[in-house]
Amino acid sequence: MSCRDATYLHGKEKEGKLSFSESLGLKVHLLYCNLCRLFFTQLDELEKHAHHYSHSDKTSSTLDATAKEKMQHALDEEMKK
Amino acid sequence: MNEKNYEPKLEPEKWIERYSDVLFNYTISRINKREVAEDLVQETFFSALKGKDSYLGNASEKTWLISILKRKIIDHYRKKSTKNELSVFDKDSKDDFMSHFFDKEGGYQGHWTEGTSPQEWRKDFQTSVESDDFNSILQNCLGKLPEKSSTVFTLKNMEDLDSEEICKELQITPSNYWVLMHRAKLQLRECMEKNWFKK
Repeated sequence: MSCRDATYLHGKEKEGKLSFSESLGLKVHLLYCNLCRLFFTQLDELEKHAHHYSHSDKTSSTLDATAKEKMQHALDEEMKK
Repeated sequence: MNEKNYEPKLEPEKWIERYSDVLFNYTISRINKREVAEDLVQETFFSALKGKDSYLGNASEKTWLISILKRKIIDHYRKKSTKNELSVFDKDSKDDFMSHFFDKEGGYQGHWTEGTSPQEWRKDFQTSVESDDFNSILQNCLGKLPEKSSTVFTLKNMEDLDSEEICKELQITPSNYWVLMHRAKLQLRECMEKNWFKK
């Protein structure tokens, strides 16, 4: 199995979509290829952090007052209907 | 316990004050375009107002609003995806992309090229990722991906859809999906390594 093929399979194993031979081939490749081991570890971390970032309750980006006023106006109009 | 006097209520007049920033944040982390994000938040409030009779009170007001927003985000992606007529999958573009990362010929076919081999990342990267700087670099790198690739990556890792749901929403085949994800991961990892993680 090449590195190109191995990296393609990242994520597939987590969803249980690997065939037996793919799974075995991947395990063997990762045993001897430290570059792909790094890839896999790093991707796991990136995905974890992307998930964490998108689920945090922090409000680091905010709407400015004008945008909020505009929205409030529009919503008020809708509520009157 | 007799709770029949408790009736969960929606308070639309307080929505903007209470939730506009929360909804905006939710959106901007998934669609890094201010105007689009503002529009989606606005549309969410409108839809929520129209559909307020469907609120059963089994979730908090915030959770309910976010569920409406989630749907709008996915619809937004779907519309863009089905509109996009560019073929991502013609063989030439695929080969060029891959040959940046993996050798095409010779004895090491399919092996990492020298310039793109993954490097060791800083030992403190686990804590460094809490910062806002990291988040903005992540956003930046996601923004550099071709649209379809960043869409599947975002839907998977931020909207928590599985591959089948994503295929259904974007009307792509599983094979398309895995190719897009492969590309997204390769590019994203390389970008993050260049900008954040190198020791």
